[in-house]
Amino acid sequence: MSLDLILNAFDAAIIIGISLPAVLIARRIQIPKLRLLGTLLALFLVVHGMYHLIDSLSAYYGGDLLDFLSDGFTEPISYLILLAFGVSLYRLGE
Amino acid sequence: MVDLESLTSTSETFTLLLIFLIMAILTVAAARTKTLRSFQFEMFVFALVLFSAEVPRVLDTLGLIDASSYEDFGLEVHSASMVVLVAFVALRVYSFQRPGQAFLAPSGVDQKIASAVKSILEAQMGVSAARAVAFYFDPNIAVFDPKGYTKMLGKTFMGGAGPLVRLMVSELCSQFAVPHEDGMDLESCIKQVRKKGATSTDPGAG
Repeated sequence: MSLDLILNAFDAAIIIGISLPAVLIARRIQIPKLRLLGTLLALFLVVHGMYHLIDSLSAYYGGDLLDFLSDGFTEPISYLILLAFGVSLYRLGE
Repeated sequence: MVDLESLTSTSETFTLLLIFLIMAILTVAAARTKTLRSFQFEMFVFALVLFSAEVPRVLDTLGLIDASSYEDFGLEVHSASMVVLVAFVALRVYSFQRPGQAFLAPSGVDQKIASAVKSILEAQMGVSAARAVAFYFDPNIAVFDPKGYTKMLGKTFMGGAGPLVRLMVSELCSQFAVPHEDGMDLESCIKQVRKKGATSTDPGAG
């Protein structure tokens, strides 16, 4: 097994693991602006966890499609969500 | 036939831009809180580790630098950034679920003020709402940047935070036995409490 596969599988496991309580907390928050922050953070964790999962599959099976789905699709989407979270966090504290 | 390799390469350029933007916004957000004990600072630490792992990797993928010898180390640093993020989020989730269970009991006056702010929020807004506020805007921010904390409450509750802040000022002054003047803002109140705190404080005794 390659280091790429092991580390991506490990990252996927811990991020998807922590995304579950993050999703539950986001659902419990009643204040709209904080609920948005919670949702964005939880969404980032879920999508970034998916990225690592697909990247570990890419490391195992290889191929351009899985490589594109991980590095070319889910990774930028997860960072786009993280950026939206950062902007929301910044704007509330502005 | 779509050239997936070139599509991936274009996306990597976009990813690089996003990472720079994330780093910039989280740096400014963390700097504004003026305390290391805030969620904003924790997110900044995570972004810093992520930045150091991702930038050389993406630049290498784009063929702009040769970081092939760095590849394995970069993967390890990326994993480290994930561990950092998971640890910070897990600690906040723990505090959210068990608000009374602090890892460290408040010792200095600053921690006592933060603890009092948290208790006032819980008493005024209800435990659930107060915990949601504390998850993203640590009560420590109120100690080191009371003006920013007041603004944050105003934005979170869309201008409806005036009575809450007035109550907070009144409660803090009462708990720490400092003179409360009409129209006193949170900044002046906390300044006085911190000044007085150098001598003696026991918010629980009031």
